[in-house]
Amino acid sequence: MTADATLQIPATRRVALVVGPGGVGKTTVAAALAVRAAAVGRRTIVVTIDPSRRLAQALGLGPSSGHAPGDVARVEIDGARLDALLLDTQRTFDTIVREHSPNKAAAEAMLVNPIYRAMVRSLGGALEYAATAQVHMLASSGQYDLVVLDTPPTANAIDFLEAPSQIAEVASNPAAKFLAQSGRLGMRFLGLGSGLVLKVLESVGGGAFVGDLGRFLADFGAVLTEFQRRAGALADVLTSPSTGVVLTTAATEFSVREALAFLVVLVERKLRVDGVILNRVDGEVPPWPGDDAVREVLAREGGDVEAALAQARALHHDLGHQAATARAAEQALRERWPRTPLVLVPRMVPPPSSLAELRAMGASIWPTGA
Amino acid sequence: MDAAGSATRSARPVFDALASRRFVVVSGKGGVGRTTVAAMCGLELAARGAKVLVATTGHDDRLGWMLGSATLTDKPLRVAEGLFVQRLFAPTCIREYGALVLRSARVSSLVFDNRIVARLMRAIPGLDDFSLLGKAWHEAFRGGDYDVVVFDGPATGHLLYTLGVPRAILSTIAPGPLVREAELMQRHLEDTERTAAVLVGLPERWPLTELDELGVALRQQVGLPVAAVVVNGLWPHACPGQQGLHAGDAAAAALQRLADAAAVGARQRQELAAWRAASGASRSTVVTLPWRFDGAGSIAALRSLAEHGVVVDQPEVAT
Repeated sequence: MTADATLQIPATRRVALVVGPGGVGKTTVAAALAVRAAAVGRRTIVVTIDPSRRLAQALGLGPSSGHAPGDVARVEIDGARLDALLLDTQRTFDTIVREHSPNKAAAEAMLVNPIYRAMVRSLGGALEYAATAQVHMLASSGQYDLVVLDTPPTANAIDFLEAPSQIAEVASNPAAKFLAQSGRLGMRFLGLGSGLVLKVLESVGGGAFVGDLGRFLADFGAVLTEFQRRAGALADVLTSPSTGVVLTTAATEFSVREALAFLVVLVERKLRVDGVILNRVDGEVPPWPGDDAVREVLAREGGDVEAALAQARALHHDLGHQAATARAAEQALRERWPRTPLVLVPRMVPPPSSLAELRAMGASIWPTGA
Repeated sequence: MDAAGSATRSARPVFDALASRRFVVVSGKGGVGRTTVAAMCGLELAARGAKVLVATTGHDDRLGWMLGSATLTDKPLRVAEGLFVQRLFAPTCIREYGALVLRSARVSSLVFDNRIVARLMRAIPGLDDFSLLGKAWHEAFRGGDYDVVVFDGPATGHLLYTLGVPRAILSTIAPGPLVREAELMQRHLEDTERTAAVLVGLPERWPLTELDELGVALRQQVGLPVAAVVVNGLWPHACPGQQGLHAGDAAAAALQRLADAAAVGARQRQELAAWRAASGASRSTVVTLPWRFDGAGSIAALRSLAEHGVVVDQPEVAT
């Protein structure tokens, strides 16, 4: 990695995907980048998934602000404006269903279908699909210069990247049409007869379930196909030259191990990695000044000097260990990806969550904001 | 007395109490150390002579890594005396469930390995969650291979949904084999003698308040009792040398750095105290775990973490 201390994102980027392992501060980084872009005058929106309550409040998304999930919130930053959206999977899918159903009656029928309502809540990949679709809709609306996405917490990049096609595949199941038309009979056409599959499926969902599921999938598949026909394939959004990725990781052994695996996948899949943020970096610890120098200070405090000395020495050792871990993390990233910009962000406990703190963080990570 | 204002004592009795359960559900928001606490509980319970499975729904390998294994698969793997770890992978769990229903693993594979069926199965809402919970529950109550199952379950945002699936089945699906399963599962989730939740959070006031709210929801909506709230990552706050330090001391730079670290711990204790003062309604036992400067990424570090666990809050007697 180059010695860049700050992020340089090409001006052509309209979408910034903040990706990385779980629990590394992705949401904070996404918010800080968005705050920075807004502060330099770009029309910006940040789409976030599960922010802490304080962070949500800073972005105008708190429950006290009267915003429902899925509403666009707006905050002022030095006269500039930042929009924020708490992703609501249900509302994103509802929008797709309303806009891409063959007619209004069909849309209304689907919106109240219990299978549909349960699906948007619990189907694996539905959240990732909604996030990608939401970003796509916002980016193509012409209202924003930059859309920042705080990606859902997946353990690896593939889970996020493949979710859109997984959902599309579920909905385009060739079995759906047969099941929709003829239920039990359809299963026999598919060569799955003998009642075995039905026995299992129906024990899962009750008697009429298989036919209902088939009908739903056929209709839902048609809606998603129409959405993608008009909007273009969602997978293309991720690999478009106007989309850049900011990989975020914490400066710990496990997070960096995961981040290195992320990078391989991102590059393989032809996404454009604009930089890596190494978060929660503990700076160098001044060397131990020697027992006598410390004793001199401790003696002024009275009490058990030797016990206090041991305590101070232990804490100094621990802090040194932690700084060494951060250094090793930095080195591992630089060695494997020498040409990717690496930005170090010092550890802050608790993490920044007020608008002022986010502004400071954004300005140090990404001074140009454009 | 510590800065949070109460007498402290070892968390050992909390682990003793957990060891008599069959099913321990661990949850918390992403990044708070949920898997670390699940692994630590697994080690502690195994050390008490139980045969323990820690089953995770996470997709990463961290549970394996921290217990000294390079990988984590959907097969149980022995990592220490009496301790096994396993990743719960929905398609595998569904196939296993199918084998139970169909009474044949071979027939189950025939059905579930069919690509069209696999895709159809993926489209059934709630089935993934049900299969993950069902598998963990099966190992805890029916499988007979383990004394205790520690379920490193979904993050707090999704937990109520996953644990609510048995009740949802009871209220929506016609009587049949699945409903009988769901009934049994629900009864076990509500059994305070055998099931308990452990919720994990960082020492920050509002996230801990959210955790309290989750605990209340778990009791009310699922019937699941919370055995303990684990507050993870408490930095040290005692720092010798702050008062006696003079400008120009040879030790100034190093001791100032220690003081900065201790300021983090002091601030965390204020947050903790503010939370405890406000959460009078919460009757959960609170265990704090120290911040691990070494990352708690090994069996030795996890054992030491448990040793340094401290109970800071006992439920008051309800009046």
